[in-house]
Order: sequence, then structure tokens, then C-alpha cells
Amino acid sequence: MPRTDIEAIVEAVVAELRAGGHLSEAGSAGTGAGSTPSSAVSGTTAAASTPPVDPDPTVPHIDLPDPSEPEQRYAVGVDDPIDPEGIANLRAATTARIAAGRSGPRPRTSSLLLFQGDHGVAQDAIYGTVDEDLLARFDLFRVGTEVTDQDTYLLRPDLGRRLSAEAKATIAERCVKGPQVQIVVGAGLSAAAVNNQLGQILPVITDGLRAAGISLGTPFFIDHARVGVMNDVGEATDAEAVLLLIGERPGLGVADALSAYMGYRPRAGKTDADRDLICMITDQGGTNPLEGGAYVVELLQQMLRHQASGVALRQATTGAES
Amino acid sequence: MIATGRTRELLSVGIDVGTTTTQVVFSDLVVRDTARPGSVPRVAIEARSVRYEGPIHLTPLRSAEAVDTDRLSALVAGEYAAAGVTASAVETGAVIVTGEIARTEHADEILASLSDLAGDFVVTVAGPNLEAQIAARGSGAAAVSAERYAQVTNVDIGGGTANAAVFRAGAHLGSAAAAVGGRQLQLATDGTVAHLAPPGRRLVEHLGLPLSVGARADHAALTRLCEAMAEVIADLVDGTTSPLSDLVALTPPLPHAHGSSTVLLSGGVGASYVAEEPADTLAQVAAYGDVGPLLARALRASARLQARTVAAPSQTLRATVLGAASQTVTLSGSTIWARADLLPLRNLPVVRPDLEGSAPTPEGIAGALSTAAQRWDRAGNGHLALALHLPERLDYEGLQRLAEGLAGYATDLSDGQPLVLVIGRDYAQALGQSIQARDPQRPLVVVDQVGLDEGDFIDLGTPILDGRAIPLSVKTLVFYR
Repeated sequence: MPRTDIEAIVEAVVAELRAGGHLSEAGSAGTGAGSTPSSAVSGTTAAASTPPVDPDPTVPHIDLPDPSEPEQRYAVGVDDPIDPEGIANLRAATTARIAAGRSGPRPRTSSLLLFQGDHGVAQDAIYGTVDEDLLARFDLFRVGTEVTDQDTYLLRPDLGRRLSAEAKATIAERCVKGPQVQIVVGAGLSAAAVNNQLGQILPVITDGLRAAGISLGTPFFIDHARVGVMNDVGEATDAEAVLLLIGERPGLGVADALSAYMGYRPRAGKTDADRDLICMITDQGGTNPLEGGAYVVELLQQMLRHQASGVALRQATTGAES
Repeated sequence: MIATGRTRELLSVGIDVGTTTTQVVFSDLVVRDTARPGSVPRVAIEARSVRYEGPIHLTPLRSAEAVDTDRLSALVAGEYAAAGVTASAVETGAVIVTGEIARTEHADEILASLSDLAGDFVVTVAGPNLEAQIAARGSGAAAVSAERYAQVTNVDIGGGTANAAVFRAGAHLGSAAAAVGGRQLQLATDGTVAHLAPPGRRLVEHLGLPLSVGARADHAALTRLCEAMAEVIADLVDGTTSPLSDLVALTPPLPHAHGSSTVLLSGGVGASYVAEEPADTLAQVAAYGDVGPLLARALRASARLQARTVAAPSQTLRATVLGAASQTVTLSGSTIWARADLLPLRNLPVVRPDLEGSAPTPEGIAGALSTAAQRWDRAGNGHLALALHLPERLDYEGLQRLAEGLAGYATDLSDGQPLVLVIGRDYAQALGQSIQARDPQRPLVVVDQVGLDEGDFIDLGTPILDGRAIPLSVKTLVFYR
């Protein structure tokens, strides 16, 4: 439903309630900042009410503290705990939703709102879009997979693992061939991950690889990509190693975690067993993107040195040590 | 991630040289990469077990305040032989000189006499705050706080000092100490006062008690002295001061004191507290030789102390030595930047530049670093570690400014002179990479997840598990006043 329609309905309902005396102005302290312009309906209402304390009653007034603020998120909701100190320390020790308390057999309103809020953040991450300015800043051009829209992306992971014919042509035209490391970026299941982490992690990786004297391919962004697309990227660029930075499936609470998938000579038929991964790159309880980037550099160097990745790299390094 | 699942064992020694007793304990530590596949490495000390626990020896003394170092080193050598351990096999651990004897100038002499036995990477510590922390770890108080998600205060009361440390959910919050303990006043078997240590004497004079060396002690006066010491310990636990506790304070008051509902008592007096040794007559006290049991009795009677839950930890008498043997080594973060040929580095004084107070530009940062380094390194040999307190979240631009500033500071160092950085937050590998890119030839060590302050000293060990982490010990060489 278009936003303007919703606003019109809300305004009409508020006006009706006020006219019928069901909604008083008392205690309403909504701010006018950033509000939509008053419509004729709300203007009439404001004129009818005395005194006009609220200049714009259409602004939704929330009289609950934001449940996602750390103070609220980690608040102990249990009434009269036997060990208040212990339960507070226990609550602080985990992101799990413990010690939330309950209202009879049901969750508290604050628990429900937090849950719904976190779920909303997760959904926004999946359906969000990657910031164009960010891609421009790093000269990332866009190519696509065989997926054309987000619903198909979610339903058909197999199509997200294949570059489109157009993408292959663009890569053939624009990319350096046979680099030691080809960097590609995909939103995956969280555009927020790319928006929040890419600006931090990508320059650390490129700086580190350049300082180590490693040649880099022409980086690009892949719309609707799955991890398996690395094989097609490897084929199209003839890279020695491919690094894919891709948004992770969001969870309830952390929705901007980025993963770094790496493979040595990824080609058709390569599987997860041939890849290495650093996951949970985020400032929110994961590995921070700067340190994550430096560790990606170390792993890529190791990969190039041993000419292997995944299980083969593990065997090469442990075999060499014993 | 290559290191996932691998383990490495370290043999650790603890040598506790106290005013009253000396003990040696050997522990085995198991270090393992505990990260799940797909995560960045996380090397941690996974298990600690006591391999050998030596008997408690009386510390060989030349006088009441001076240790006979020849006999001490022979005693410790005997313990190594009894445990079947050679000095070279010991990779980590600590020698702790505690109490009254550590106040004297010859604490250094004690440490020197043990240095041949203590292996390459054994730290020597003395100092009330660190001692308190080590005792609380050794007593099991730290583990209790972790298991119960509780805040506890451990007070280790020995012969010369009482050392308090607060732990919440396994993390150390703060420490404090006072010069009260069982051996502040010693008695001969006939009930005459054999020795009155200076802090004890200050209390006796303040209270106007009829107690002097050579004279027969009065049980009521001894009780009064012990009640006063119990008051000092109550002040210590409460984090408060009084005219009495000011006489014997060794540190500022205990931080976070109010949050502990449970107090655990370790050390000799802690053991006596549990055992409820009789101290009702002068003969009973004199038989013990010091006022330890009488102090324990006063603690049982202290209303202020008993307002909290007072309990015994799993280790009382041996808390300090067990802590020294197994708890003094920590590990750096597992994503670090270190050239292995530079390590180990020992006794680096820690310098903390004022980054918050300087302009957030490379030049401002370099200036703050130079100013700080000059405070300690007048010789200009670069033998120091810079402790950088970074903001909670650093962005790429902030990292670059910092690296530029550090590289700028390093240009003033001579070629080949190492740059050693210790940071609290997890940015070591990123920072190391950024600095090295600017100054490829610079010998560079950057470790993280270690909190340090100016005045600390640090030993950095040889990297373990393929350079994944560095064992390190933070110590203080600031002896008792």
C-alpha cells in the first residue's frame, strides 16, 4: 500500500477518535520534527481541540523506551529474582533472550516488540539495496547472475551460482585476466552487511595484498549472487584465487555480518570443501572488519603459497608441520 | 583457521617466597585453538593441572626481614629435583616475593638468586595489586565468580599483608592491599613478644596498647590489636578508609567493593579462619607463634565483615603459589602481527601515550608517541612497549592515521630498532599490516587483547601454534613501599 494512503487513513482515524472524545491530548508529546505536512483533516481536528497543545497530532507518539537499545535489550525482566546480581551478570553474558520475564503465560510487550523489531531488521537486510555511492567509491561495476529478481533469488539458489551470459561478456571486456587474487562482492542475503562493512574491509584487503606484492584483478559487484558463483568468476577471470565478500543470512539481532569466502583456482565442479571462510565479520559482536580484512590477507597468502584451499590447504599445512 | 583443534602444552612454575613460608608448584597448561571452523582463530588456555605440589617450607631468614638467599636457592633447587623438572623445561610461570620481605631492598637479590632456576620465561612479580589478583585466581575465587555469574571479593591474608581482589563473572575488576596479617606480631612460646613489624607497631602505638618486643604479651591487648586489624580488613573489603586503615594502607581503596555479596578468605589466616584454631588464651596464641589464629577469631567476630557472606575458597594456604604456577601467563589475541625472530622480549617497560589528548592527525599522534617514549626511554634504545588505548570502534581512515603516526614516530628510531605495540582491542593484525606497508624493514610486534597501563612491565614469549598467539606476562616491579 502506498505510504500516502496509510498516512491518510491514520489521520482520518485519529480525527474520528478526537471528535468522539476517545483520544485526549493529555500526555501526548509527539515532536513535530520531520513530520508530514498537516492535511486538511488534521488541521480541522487541531482547531477543534482546546487547548491546542499538540501542533501535529498525526505524528505517532511512542511512549515506550526503544526496546532495541542495549539498556532495554539486556534488562532483566524477571520479577523478584532470588539472585538479582547473578541474573544480571548472566543476562549480560549472552545475546540470547534469557531472563526476559513474562506476563502471565505470555511474553512481555517489550519482549514481543524487541522480537518483532529484530525480525524487521533481518527482513530489511534481505530486501535492502546496496548503496550505489559505495560501489562507485571502489570502482565496482555491476554484473548479474541468472537470477533477475529477489524472490527468484530466494527460491532458486542454483541460478544465483551462475553468472549470466551478459555478465561473462562484461567481465571478458573489462577485467584483467589471470590475476593472483580476484576480489568480487555480493549482497547475498544482507545488503546491510555490504553497506556497513565493505568500506572498512575492502581497503585493508587491497592494501595488504598490494604490500605483499600480490597482483589484483579488476574487482566487481555481482547482483543476486550465491557463494557458488565463485566457480564462474574463476573461469571468467582465470584468477589464481578468488575472494568473495558476501552478506550473510541475517539473524535476530545481528543483520549486517559479512562473510569472506576464498578459493584457490575455483573452477566448475569445486565445492565448499575447496573453499575457506571467515564468517561473522561485523562490529556487532563479531570480528571487526579491519582485523577481519588483515586475516583475509594472511589466509590468501597462505593459499597462494600452498597452491591449495579448503581441505587441501588444511592437509598441506598440517602435513608440512608434522 | 589452519590451527583449529591443535594443542600445545606449557610447563609452568610458581615459586612463592613469603614472609613466613616458601612453596614451589609445577603446573601443566594446555593451549588450544578453540575457534569454530569459519571463524578467526581463538587461542586459549584450555586446561590447567597441577603436576607437582611441593611441601610448605619455612622461608630461610637471616633476620626478621631478610631472606637467606643461598639457602633459599638450595631449597628451590631441591624442589625442582623432587619434581623431576629441569630448569630448561620450564617455559612459563612466576616467582612471587610477598609480604614484609618484599619491602626491603634485597627483594631484587632474592629474585636474582632464583633466576638460574626460573627458566627463560618466568616472570618475577611483587606488588600488592598483582599479588591480590594472583591469589584470587589461585584460591578459586575467580572461578567461583565465573561459575555463579557473581561478584566476589577474595582477601588473601598472610603473614605480612592482606590482599583483596574483586572478580565479577570471572573478570578482574580491581585490587587493594593493606599491611595487616598474622605475623605483624610474633610471639615466643613463653608469651613474650618476639617481633613487631613496622605496620603492626604503628597500630599498637595508635591504639596505645601495652605491647613491646621482649615484654610478656597481654591476651586482651593482642585481641585488641587483632580487632583493629580486622577493622582494617573490613575497610579493605568495603573499599573505605579510616584513620586506622590509613596507617597501614598499601594501595588506594578497593574499587567496585560494594557489589560483592560474598567474601572469600584465603592465605594462612584464611586457613585458620576455616579451621577455627583456638586462640582463647595467651598460651594457645603463643603456641602458634604469631597472632594469625587470633586475627581469624577477630574476623569471625567482625560485624562489618559478617554483614556479607564469608566463606572459604577451594584453596586457602596455597592460593598464591597455585595462582603463580598456573594463572600468571596470558595469551595475546589470535590475530596479531609479530616477527618471530624478535621474540622473546623481556622486561619491556610499558608506556602509554596520550592519544586522546593529541590532535587526531598523523603528526599529532607521532608527537604524542615521542613525548611518551621520552619519559621512559632516555637511553633511546627503544626497549619499551607502547600501550595504545584505541577507540571502541576504529574505522579505516582512523586506522590509516594511526599507522601513519606510528610510522612517523618510527622514522626517529634507528634502523633495526623494534617497534612494540600492545593494544586492548582486536586491531593488531590490521594495524601491523598498515604500519609494515609504510615501513617494510621495521622490526614490528603488535599484539592485542591485553590491557596495560603505564608503569607495568611486560614479557613477550615465543609465539606458539604457528605464530598464532604470544604468551605474555604482565608484571609490576613496583615493590612495596
